[in-house]
Amino acid sequence: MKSALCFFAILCSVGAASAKCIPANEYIPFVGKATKPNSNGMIALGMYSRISPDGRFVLRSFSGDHLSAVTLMEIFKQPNGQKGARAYETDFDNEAFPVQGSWRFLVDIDGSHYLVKDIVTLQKDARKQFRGGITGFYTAAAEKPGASDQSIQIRTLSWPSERVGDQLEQGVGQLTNETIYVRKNPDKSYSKYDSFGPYYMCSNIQKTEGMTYSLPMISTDGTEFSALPQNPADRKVSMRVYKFGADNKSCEKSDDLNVATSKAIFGIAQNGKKAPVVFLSGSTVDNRPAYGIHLYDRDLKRTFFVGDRAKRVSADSFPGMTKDGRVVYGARWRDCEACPETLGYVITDFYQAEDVKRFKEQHPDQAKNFKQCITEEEVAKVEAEQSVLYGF
Amino acid sequence: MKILIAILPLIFSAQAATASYLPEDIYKNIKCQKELQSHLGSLFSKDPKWERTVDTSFDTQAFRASEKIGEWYELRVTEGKPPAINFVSTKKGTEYSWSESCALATKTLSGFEFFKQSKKNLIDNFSDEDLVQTLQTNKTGVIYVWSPRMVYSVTEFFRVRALVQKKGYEFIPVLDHSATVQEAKDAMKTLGGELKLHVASLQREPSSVGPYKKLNSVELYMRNSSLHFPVIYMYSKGQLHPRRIVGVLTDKGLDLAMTEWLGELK
Repeated sequence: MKSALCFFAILCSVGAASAKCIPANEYIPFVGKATKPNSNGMIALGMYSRISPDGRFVLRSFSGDHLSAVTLMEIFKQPNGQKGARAYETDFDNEAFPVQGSWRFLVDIDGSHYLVKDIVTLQKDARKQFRGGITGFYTAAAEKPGASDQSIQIRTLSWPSERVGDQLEQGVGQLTNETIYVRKNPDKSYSKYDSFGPYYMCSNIQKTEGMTYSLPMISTDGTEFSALPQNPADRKVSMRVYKFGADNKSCEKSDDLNVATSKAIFGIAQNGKKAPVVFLSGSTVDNRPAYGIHLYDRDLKRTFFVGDRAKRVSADSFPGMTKDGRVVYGARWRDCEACPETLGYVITDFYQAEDVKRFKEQHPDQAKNFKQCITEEEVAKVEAEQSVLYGF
Repeated sequence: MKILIAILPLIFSAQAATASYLPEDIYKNIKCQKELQSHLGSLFSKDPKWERTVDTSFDTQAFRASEKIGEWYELRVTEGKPPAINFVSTKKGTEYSWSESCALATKTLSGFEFFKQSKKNLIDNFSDEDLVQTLQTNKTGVIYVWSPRMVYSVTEFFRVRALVQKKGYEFIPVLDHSATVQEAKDAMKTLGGELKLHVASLQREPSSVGPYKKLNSVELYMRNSSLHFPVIYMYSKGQLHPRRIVGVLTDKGLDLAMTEWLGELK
């Protein structure tokens, strides 16, 4: 009887713990070498921060004087129980990128694919698995859903590029994409076995969108991309979302955010909803410039402010989202005007953002699928799933 | 003459009827719409060309428009509520808001500046005053807003400058307001080269000003100069082109864009 009571007590406590909401905003400071100032006295926040699906890792470029150019930052629990973000060094060049959706691979800009596990354990000595996909200039990649060990499809999307003679010159012209096929070998290494492309894209919508886009970003499932057309027929400066056509060449405009934004980065499409996008954008509050992270819900066609106005936060322009819906971004923050500045990552629960709470109160019908919060259990589940994929 | 007298009122009334002063995609259910339109009519000489900026909240749209360099109006509308307009300029600000019964209230706000200049704290910056002076020369040129925190805006700085100069245009570099000059110099040195002030033996910065002037212009900020770097603006014949190039284009793309925009600045 005693043991039965104990068992139920444990179950109850597990149940209670699992239903616990994550903090509305969690501030994770850099620790270790990442906190060392550069020769100019400033600590590097890094650039082009890309967030893993479980929120455990951030791949960033321009990591400062004391670290390799590209570092893989890990958010972990320190011995004192506080979370911190530590750096693993890599041999990558700036603008290395992850294969979004799975984060099965991290990719150097020459197309060399590496395992996350190898970077964490071997850092600069990690060896590439294979090379493939579009190389260079602001490339983004995503793994298409439904992969098996025998067939993993990865689509890469490049910044505008142009064929000059026999050469591909990066930096102008049409967007291009390429898909590579990868399989897992019996020895657990990976090989590329096929590729399609690169395909020049979006000629079919040239009349309305022009041919030159900036700030392209691929969706986490590789079916869409966001970009800002430079010369659209409507002359509107606005971030838009496009679908890749079945022929890999045509494009279909599927959304217009109607505003200029920094890069619009996709969350994960779930429960029949379209993938949301998160971005940095600015407005004015009391005649002062105010920047912050926003989330655009493409089903509701509404933009939510998900920043934390209780603190003085200067957010990085590369936010990201985890599988469970957390919004993660690099930032510098202060608790008060005279307080020292801290650098690190902010983890925000979208559902607990003030703007979202107000929306739920005012529009319960539209917000019926909105949760009260993201729970620790949901986070743990995503972390466990992702850990299997990382292999550690 | 009689016909002219008869037609004139019709023309004016037709203009008044067509000018709504409101953005096209504004919420339909805002309060005090008539009062808002009437007030906008007193602020603008014609239908403003609104540009939507990010919604400040799920139920609040924001739009920006201007008729004069450095003087902007930001209109904020919340579903089911009265609107508010902020006048934004370097020297002063004003907030116009309406009560639930649509009574107008006016509140004075401080001017909008990234840097408050004082004798003790002089920051070399590019302000609306500088912009106006630049436009008054009636020259053709580009303003290149860059940041040491966006690497391509540094690495491509010299290439863009070379192209612009080759075409005989001015090139004015303006630094991200949030970056420090030391940070900018370090990035330039590491990634691009070294910007030098004009002396007889060295290449002169065409802007004739210090190369590390920090952005302090309401005009450029309101045209989203700081969402990404570089952002390139073009001016000619006393006008600043309403659009901008966001990000890096190579010579061919930039050349095409500049040619097209120059054609539009008549």
